[in-house]
Amino acid sequence: MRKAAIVIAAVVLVICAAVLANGKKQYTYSAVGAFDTVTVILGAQESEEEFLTNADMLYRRLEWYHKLFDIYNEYDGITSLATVNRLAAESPVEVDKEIIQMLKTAKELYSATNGQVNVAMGRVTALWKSAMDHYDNTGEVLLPNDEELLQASLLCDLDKVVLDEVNNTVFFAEKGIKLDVGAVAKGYAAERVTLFAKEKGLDSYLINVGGNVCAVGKKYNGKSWAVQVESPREGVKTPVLMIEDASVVTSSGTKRCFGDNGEYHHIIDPDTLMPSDNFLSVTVIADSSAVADGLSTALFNMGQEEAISFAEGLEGIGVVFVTKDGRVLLTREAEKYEKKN
Amino acid sequence: MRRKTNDIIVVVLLLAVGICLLAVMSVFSKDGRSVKVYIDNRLCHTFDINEDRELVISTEKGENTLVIKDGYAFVSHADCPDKTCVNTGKINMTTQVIACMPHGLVITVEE
Repeated sequence: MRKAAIVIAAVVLVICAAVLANGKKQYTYSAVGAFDTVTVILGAQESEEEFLTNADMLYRRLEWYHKLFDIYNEYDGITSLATVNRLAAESPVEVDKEIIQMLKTAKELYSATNGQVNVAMGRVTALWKSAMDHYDNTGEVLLPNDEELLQASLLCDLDKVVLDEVNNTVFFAEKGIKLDVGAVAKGYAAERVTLFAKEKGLDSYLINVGGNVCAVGKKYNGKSWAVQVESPREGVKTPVLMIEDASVVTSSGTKRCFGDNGEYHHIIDPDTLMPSDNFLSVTVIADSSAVADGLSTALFNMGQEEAISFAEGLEGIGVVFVTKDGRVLLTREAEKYEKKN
Repeated sequence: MRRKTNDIIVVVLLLAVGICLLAVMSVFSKDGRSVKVYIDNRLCHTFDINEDRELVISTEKGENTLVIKDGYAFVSHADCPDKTCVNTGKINMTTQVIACMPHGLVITVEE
């Protein structure tokens, strides 16, 4: 019995000592620019200097992905998607492997969701972007007309975007197709940066690219990361999710919108060619941030009933819906992540 | 018999001390959260999240009013075009962030 007491005492002391000796502190880094948003990186390190070096390395990596997936700008020494959009209808364009892999993921999400997330809709989204820019500049709501939208929608066939994984080329088998990878690229990039962090031996980081949250390991104190689902509207109480080595992504119709009541937003339904009007927001929790990003857009575009039954059928992927009347619905998988208290 | 009772008391006491230590440490790890304000990626202000205050952060790009109240931080007014910072609402967790892209402003909660 005395021996047992000594053993227990030793164990308790060792635990206390270990907790005290773990001198890692959590630091924060923020930067504006990549993916036209704010990136915040949290990480546990022994010194701030060490943390800043690592965070800077991760952010540079993210900036590189931003350039690669940029559909508006071309760069020296990098073949961005803007270059692909300009040239791929003429002949196959050689690109970085990461563009091929990202587009492959996008194609998989397209088939898995019956085309509810389509990165070949660039022509349609460009019309909506012009309308948004016009509103920002003049304050006037000038929607794309039906004829323009219909014409644009005829050139949105993702199957006509041909990937060659051996030669790393992209080819458009139809003239006029334009890629807009906004629904997948940020999540894909965040995920790849997360994997890069793990390769570098980092084990307690949280990378938040404009609301696209990716966790590397646990918090410095061994607890899960507590991530509050973004609330799409004042007064909507959203759950806090406890995650480790997972990603949380929200698609919301109350962000990047225009109109006097913000009624026109950036997520365009492939069927109606109009901003989707089924939910206030859809949040997806998944191991893969690319999947979480693409799925949240696809579910946002589905009708309410279809989306909910689709989401309930997903294994290992949680979904939090906020309906138009402000109700918050969690799938069974999402409830497993919900912080209870 | 008495020796056994003493042993049990010792074990219980040690466990109690250990649990108290852990509890104290976990309380300390939660305390001392601060609100940090970054402008153009540079840390400009650090405030205690438990001290209520209101502050107008002005740069050449514009103004945002930061309010810290009841352990939460939020932006109550801003003269930016998109008002994303105001619409973000109240934050109090380290994984949350308020950002005003047009003004290059980022507000975080840190431990």
